[in-house]
Amino acid sequence: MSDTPQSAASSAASTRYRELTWRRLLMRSSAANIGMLFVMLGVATVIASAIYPTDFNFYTTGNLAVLAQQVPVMAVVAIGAGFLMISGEFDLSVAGVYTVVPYVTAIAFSRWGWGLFPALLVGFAFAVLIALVNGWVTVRLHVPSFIATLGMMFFQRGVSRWISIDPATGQPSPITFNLGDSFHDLTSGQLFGVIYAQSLWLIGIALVAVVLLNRHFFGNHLLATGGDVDASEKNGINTKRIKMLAFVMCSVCAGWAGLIQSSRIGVVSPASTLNGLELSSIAACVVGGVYLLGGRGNVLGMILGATLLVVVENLLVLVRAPGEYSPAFIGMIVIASVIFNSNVGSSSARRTA
Amino acid sequence: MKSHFPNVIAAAAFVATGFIAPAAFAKTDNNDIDITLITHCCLGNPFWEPLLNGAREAAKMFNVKVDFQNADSDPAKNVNLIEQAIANKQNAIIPMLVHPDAMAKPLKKAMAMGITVIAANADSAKAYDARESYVGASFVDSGELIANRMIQQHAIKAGAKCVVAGGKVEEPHIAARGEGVMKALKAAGVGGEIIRGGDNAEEALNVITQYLLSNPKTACVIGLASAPTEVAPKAIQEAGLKNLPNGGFDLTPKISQNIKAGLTTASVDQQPFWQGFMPVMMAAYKIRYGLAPASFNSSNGLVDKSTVDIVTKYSGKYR
Repeated sequence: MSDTPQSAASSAASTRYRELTWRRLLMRSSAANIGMLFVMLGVATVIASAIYPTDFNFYTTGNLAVLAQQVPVMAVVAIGAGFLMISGEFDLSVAGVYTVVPYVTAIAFSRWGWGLFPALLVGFAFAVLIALVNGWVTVRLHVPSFIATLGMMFFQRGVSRWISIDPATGQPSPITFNLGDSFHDLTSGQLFGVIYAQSLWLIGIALVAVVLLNRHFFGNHLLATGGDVDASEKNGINTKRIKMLAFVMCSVCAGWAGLIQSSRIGVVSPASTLNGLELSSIAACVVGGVYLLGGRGNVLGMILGATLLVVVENLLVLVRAPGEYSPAFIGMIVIASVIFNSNVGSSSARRTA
Repeated sequence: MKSHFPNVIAAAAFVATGFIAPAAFAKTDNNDIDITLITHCCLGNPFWEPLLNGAREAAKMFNVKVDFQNADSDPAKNVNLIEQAIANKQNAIIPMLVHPDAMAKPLKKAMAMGITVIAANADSAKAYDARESYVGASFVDSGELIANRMIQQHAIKAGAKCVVAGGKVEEPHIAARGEGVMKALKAAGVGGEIIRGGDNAEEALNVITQYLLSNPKTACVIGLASAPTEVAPKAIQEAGLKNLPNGGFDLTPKISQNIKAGLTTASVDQQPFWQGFMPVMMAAYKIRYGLAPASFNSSNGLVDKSTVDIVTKYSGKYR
């Protein structure tokens, strides 16, 4: 039995379509571009480990454990920030939320004697409240989110110091974060001694984020809102509500990241609000291919972008680069990644066009 | 049609030269001891220069290698850097115990693995079992020292009020200094108010100036860290007040100049050079010869106009 000319043509077209689809996936996707950097980084570190097996300690249990606990925190913040960036907005108050949520939760649990769930609820209530204020000022009062959340960032710094005043000394002080063994095990414990709870949380949150962004009308509306607000509204999308929801998601993610980090280290300090997380999360998204003006981005890119920043910082420590200069390296990586991302993206777009 | 190949090769070369090449000098052949020193914050502050220089001099003198890392005031980053030092098989860690609740656990883990841990600059009773020794100032005592000097030299009377400008007042060592200052002020019947002066000179200048503008009857200014101590005379001038007694903690080139010019009464000198030098030396001797590290108070008391000349001469390197 032989193929008819029509079926042969159809088969050729189908093959061509599949090729194009794979090429699009591999080359057009910003996540794939940054993924290529990862492959190269992986090759470089494997070679370095082979050449210097005793001196280059990247693939040691201890170092991988550090990464397994560090990456999810940054990645969860980046996912929230990325969703908001896709909607066309920014949130510079994430570092404040990252600190305030665990602080309030710890105070409610330890100082006020509340149960775990009410304490968590009041912590997240703060996150949602902050997000709603940010969103309201941005979408209702038409203040650019950069300015609205910048104001919120400073406001929160003051608030976090205020709520951190220890009644005994009258001075701001770090507070012990201990919500019980169960909470600790669930958020920063280990499964079978090798899998860290933080990684599992990241996988869970990432899956929910992927479904929301790619398999749910919310994702469509989010991408449309970030791409063209006017056109989206003409198509019946409530862009204000979408942006408000994106602000809430961003805040809740930052709050949860703060909780799992505080659970790991057992303390929450108002000084954490100054660690530049707001800019790192935006940098992670940009490295991961989230379009700065909104309308484009994917969850894998956000996670890879966050991972790249953490891994680079980790590598710098391992190769004994002086700590005072590490931000310069991070800056170079961000710029190089974005240039690489846009070069490969535009080049592949020309090839597949 | 343009190929991706050059882009990919360029990126691969970038990554390879970026990360494989440094591994080549990751550990030097002639140094058998690797030490990580983690400063807790604010690099760029001149206070750290003598401390880092002390560590460098000791590294050279005792043929060890010291990596300098900075935790940016973040307890999580402090923990990460300690855990990375463990993963990187360092022989010794020199932490600054500003977040003892967070840092004690990984430091105990390091000690259990045979890594020498010597705290410098900041210590805490909560982490006495997480380090072998401590080199630094006694904070409460030095707080009392500077407050008593201000009261005595300027005859500050009971009922007067001083402003006590902290750096990051939430950090335990600053809080301990504040505790000492407040204790001495209270004992003399002098009121005191602690304000958060920030950890950089600009922020401290604004905060202290604004405080003095709204409280012109303030009797003295005591800085709890180098930034507020450094800018106190300028803040007094900008607030339109004259000859308001001020003093504080630490020595930077500017603080030394102020003391020499008679603008600042005195400052507690915690001698950061020793805080860098001694832990590195003791770590080397512990690892090579099994000599147990010892704790000691690095402070040399107060520096005032009569003792400031030698400080100015070696400012930034040893003082």
